[in-house]
Amino acid sequence: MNLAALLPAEILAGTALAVLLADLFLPHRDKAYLGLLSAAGLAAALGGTARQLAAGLHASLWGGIFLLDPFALFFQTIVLGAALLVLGVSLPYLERWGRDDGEFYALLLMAVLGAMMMVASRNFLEIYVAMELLSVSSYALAGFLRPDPRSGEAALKYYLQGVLASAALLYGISLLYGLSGSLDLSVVGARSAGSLGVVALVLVAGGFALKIAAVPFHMWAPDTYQGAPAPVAAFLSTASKAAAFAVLARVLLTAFPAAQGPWQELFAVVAAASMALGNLAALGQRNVRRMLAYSSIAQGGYVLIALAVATPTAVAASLFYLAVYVFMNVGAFSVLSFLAGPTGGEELADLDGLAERRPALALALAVFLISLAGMPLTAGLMGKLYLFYAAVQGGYAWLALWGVVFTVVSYFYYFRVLRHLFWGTAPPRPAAPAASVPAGLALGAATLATVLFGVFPQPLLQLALHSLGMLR
Amino acid sequence: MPEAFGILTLATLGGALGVVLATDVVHSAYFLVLAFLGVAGYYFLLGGEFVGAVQILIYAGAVAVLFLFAVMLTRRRADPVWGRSPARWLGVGGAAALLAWLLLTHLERHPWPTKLPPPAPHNTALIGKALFRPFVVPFEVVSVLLLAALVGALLLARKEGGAS
Repeated sequence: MNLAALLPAEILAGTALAVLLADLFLPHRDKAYLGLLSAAGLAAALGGTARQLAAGLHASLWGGIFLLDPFALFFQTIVLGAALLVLGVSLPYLERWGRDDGEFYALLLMAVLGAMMMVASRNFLEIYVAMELLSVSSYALAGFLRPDPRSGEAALKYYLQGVLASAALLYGISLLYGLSGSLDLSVVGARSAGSLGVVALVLVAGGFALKIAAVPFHMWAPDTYQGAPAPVAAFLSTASKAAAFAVLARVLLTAFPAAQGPWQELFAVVAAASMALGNLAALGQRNVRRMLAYSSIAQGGYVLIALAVATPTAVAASLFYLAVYVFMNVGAFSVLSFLAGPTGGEELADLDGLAERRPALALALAVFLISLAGMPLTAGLMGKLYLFYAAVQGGYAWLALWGVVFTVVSYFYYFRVLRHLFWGTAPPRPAAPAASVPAGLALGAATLATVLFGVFPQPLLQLALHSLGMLR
Repeated sequence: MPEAFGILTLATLGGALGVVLATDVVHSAYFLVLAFLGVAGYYFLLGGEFVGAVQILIYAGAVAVLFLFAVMLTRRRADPVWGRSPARWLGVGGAAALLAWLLLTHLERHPWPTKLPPPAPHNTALIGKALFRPFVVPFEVVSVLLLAALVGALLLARKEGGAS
């Protein structure tokens, strides 16, 4: 029973090892098969997890170290879906850089494995180990294009700040263990009341906030998202962020309901600061990928509203938002990944007249940006509406108002990109490489989902609400 | 016991301060060994002989030796890595003092139990059982983690244009 329930994770681990082994024997021209093998493994794991979610699995494994409840399965599905999209886009990207090595796919699969284990843990030891797996794989992925100094810088900055956050997390966990004598989430909170428990909780939250890139732990994000390979930036800004948010929500809501007052205040401030700083800093960026990095800090702020409000409606809204955010943000980074690389840049001027050169790409990017901005008929609007509505309902009207103000601010930089896309004059430049089939599939799926969940948000919202039902 | 605790604390804190304050990276590595040994002493003092032995073998032994090798093989000039401007001292010292003040006031205020439960007798056997029964999956995840670190390190350290 225990092993069968973890089958998706086992498939992933097996695929990662198989990719590493096969990499040794495959001649260089056949490396693309490794990507396809990884995609097959991811798809199998995604299918298995989705089936468990549909079946309403609720299993406590190994004496409560793992908890596969709908909440965990929902986030596992998000992470696996994001990884599959990222993988589809990575295939042509790596080929163009001449770096289609097996290590990339193996590390991506291991990062996904870490994220999957993380969201299903109910024990601080397992949470820490799984998060380190996600982190270590991410550091290496960020530095994958090392000949490009910016990729090295991306990896180094992420690594140094990640290690600091990891130390804070570990120190917080050790304090909680000292207070409670346990690492089990269902026991720790009840036994670590008092001011020292709150200090420990803040340290723990800091460890997760780095992955969410929430202010004040956002400093690595712009440089890393800009310098890392574009698909890796897409992964870090969606799957990694969603996994960290899931663990944070689980720790706070299930283990520390007693200290709810202090941490609600804390996250209200963090959310407000992230929205303000992310959106204001994005206004001044000329590099589109850097602009998206700041926008991603702001999006993290919107999601953190849920932890400030801490009502079931708000947390369900954040689940919905994170799910649709995967599609629009992976999509936006993916379109850039087609333009960037040895053949072109990703400055605003490089997007001039893209609508004439590559109408499909330009249209897709426009859909993603409109959705990130939160305009009607897109999933982004529905997500923001649910979040702000939950904030008003939960007595945080000022936070909702703050969010609306900065959403309006964000229109300026999202629409500036659109102006360049459709009304810029295209300078003569070499044609961008044609999109490949897997990348086209990934982009098409992301575009479709962004529009579809904007028009029919109800099923996904129902699923989010249902996934939450058993958390408390 | 208080004397032993005092000596160990002196070694651990002194070692840790030495790591940060030493101007030469090699000296920092030696101070790190001292800090590791002090922590190992705490483990023995608390009756955790297995963890203490592992701490000496792996941290004071393998990890520190690896550090020294890495430093000596990659160092080109004996210059300090970072400047020591007053502003930097102020920033780092201020942050450290703030954290210490925050933790110490709350640590002191907490009603800690005055008597420790006696340590379990055969705790090596208990660790073994815990590792391979309830914690078997985290144990396996650690093995994947080490593999990821190995692959990642090779990837970043590999010479450009070399055969993969």
